Amino acid sequence: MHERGTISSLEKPEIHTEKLGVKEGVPIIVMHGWGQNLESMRTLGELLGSRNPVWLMDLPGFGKSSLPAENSDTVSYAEILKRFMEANGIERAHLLGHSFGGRVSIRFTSRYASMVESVILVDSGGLKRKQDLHGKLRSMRIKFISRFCKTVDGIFRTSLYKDWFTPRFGSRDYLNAQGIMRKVLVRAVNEDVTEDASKIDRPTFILWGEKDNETPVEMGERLHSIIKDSRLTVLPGKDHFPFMGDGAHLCAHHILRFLNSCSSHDR
Amino acid sequence: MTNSERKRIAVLFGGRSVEHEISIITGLQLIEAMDTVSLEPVPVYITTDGRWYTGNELLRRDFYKGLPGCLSSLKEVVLMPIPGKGGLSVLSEKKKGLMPEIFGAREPDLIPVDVYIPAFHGSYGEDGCVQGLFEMADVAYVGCNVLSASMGMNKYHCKMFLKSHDIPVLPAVLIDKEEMDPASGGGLKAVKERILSTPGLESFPLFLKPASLGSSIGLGKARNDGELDAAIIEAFKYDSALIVEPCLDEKMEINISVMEGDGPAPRASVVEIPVAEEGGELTYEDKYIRGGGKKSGSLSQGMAGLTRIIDPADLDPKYKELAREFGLKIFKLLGCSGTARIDLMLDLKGDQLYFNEINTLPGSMAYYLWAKSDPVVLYTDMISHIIGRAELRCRTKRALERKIGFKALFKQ
Repeated sequence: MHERGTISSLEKPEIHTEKLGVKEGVPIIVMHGWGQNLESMRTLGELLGSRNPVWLMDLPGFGKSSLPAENSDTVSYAEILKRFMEANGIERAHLLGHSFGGRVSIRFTSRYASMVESVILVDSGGLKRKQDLHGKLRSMRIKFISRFCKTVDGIFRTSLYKDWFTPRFGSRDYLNAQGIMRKVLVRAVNEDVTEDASKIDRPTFILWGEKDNETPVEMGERLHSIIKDSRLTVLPGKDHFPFMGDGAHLCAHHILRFLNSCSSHDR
Repeated sequence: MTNSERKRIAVLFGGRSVEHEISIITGLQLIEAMDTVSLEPVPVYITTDGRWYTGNELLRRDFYKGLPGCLSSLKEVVLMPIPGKGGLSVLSEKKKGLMPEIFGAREPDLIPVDVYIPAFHGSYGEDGCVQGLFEMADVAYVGCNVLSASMGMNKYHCKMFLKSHDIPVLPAVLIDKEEMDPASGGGLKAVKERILSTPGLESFPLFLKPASLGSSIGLGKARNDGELDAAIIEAFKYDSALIVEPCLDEKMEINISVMEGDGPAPRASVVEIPVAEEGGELTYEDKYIRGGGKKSGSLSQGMAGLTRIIDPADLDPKYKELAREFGLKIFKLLGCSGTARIDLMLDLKGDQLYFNEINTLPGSMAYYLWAKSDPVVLYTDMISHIIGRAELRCRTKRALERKIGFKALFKQ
């Protein structure tokens, strides 16, 4: 039932995937969020597998996949996805991306639209958070402290930034990330994919938890207004991980409804 | 994004039952999977002493760690047995404003509810009791009515009824706790004599269970006279009646879920074979603690977390088909609605499939079986479906003529 796929060992990095679900049809490639791995998407993937073949993927640097190249960004991840699809003979796929995986889906679709049947963005990253005055003041203050620490470190050869600033102000994701991945994270959170998103001309389904504090629902609404052929469904009561636990059934319900409505010839 | 057009669905869980905790899991799972785009869940927690509370704090599992003190942050509510009200009456609202003794004498606030889902297991919730309250209040509710729920709850009466409709069942005897009373000429000795003189129960091992409980609580296996004493006393701790059955040497449990369809014909899921830790009978730990605990630090998933084989490839298709046939027939015979799980027992020696028991409100609503059925039924879709059926039943019933006027009282 489960097939494991990898890119040939000559190509770096190595991508770990699991294929499940029905054998026939346009596959759905499922990409998880930052700090997760394919296990976080398994239940949802299994439920979608009743309609289409499903590839669960460990993104580079997560799960059982190897680290990406030194200076990778989400565009590099999109290139890795393209190589993965070509290596596995996948001509066209539905892309399902959660959070960070959503960024990669947007990057990929704006570049290789012909390889994409449809896009499903679940609490996706990619847009800069809109801040109110309070939030703006807060981030200005933090930026100032950060610059101050770096300056002091530069002059006095201390490690204030690393030992005092980062543990205090660094996000959970940042603190958990190591080495290359920390750089990938910084690049990802500072990018804005608005331009790429505006180029997407594939049917797009935007699914969002109403109570998402990490990528607030306002971002979903903006993506919906940017992406031409898009539909937005907000799930009341759900957070950044609406597919967790039995919420997988709820997400599968809405995703399957989207897939059924947007094409009848992809099975 | 709160949509006022959403139907308000009260999900009731907890309750005065030994399966209280399992019901909390079932209730929270149900809310988690519910299509909140079209439905608005109203969680209603019923404490072990039978008081009803509502509030969104109930959706967090760690809330229950703070019991009973944390209840003060909730609203205490009640469903009045008065037709036409429909919603939950708030009991705990503090009177506000000037001179509440004069101006505050108003009707209690009403939390509107469109459909009730009992997510209880066992006594007062799965046995027809709360269903009786729903009937009195004339509200739409999911699942079995009073009669089918209470028939399903009593293992003995259920067996005897199905036996009369040619469903194979194992021999059994029902013992009432009163028979243990020496004052009325009873006692342990007399009870044991009655058990061992019942046709089919003459020899050990025997299997004892409380007549109206599920979740494997109070179960006992007696291999000899001494164990029989202990098992009788254990079962009477939880119920005022117990049922004794022969214990088959080589057997396999086969469970199947049956759900009401769009018309009179119900639908059946794939079958499952639950697996006990050390062979033999499933214990409460097998059902609810071991399965959910296998991933470190994960939350117990109730029945959905049990170690089981769903749709086993090596089970003879003839048994799968027979289980389906039995399941659909039993569901109809008992007049069930909603989703039930029917537990069958395959005697591997005698090559015979028996009805064992029915759960008219099964743990996790047996959704894990439907997720593996063909076609797949998502839990989200199952919930919407059984809610739609509940509304239809309620409308049909309300259309019945009840008032024929006062004729007999004022006869000329």
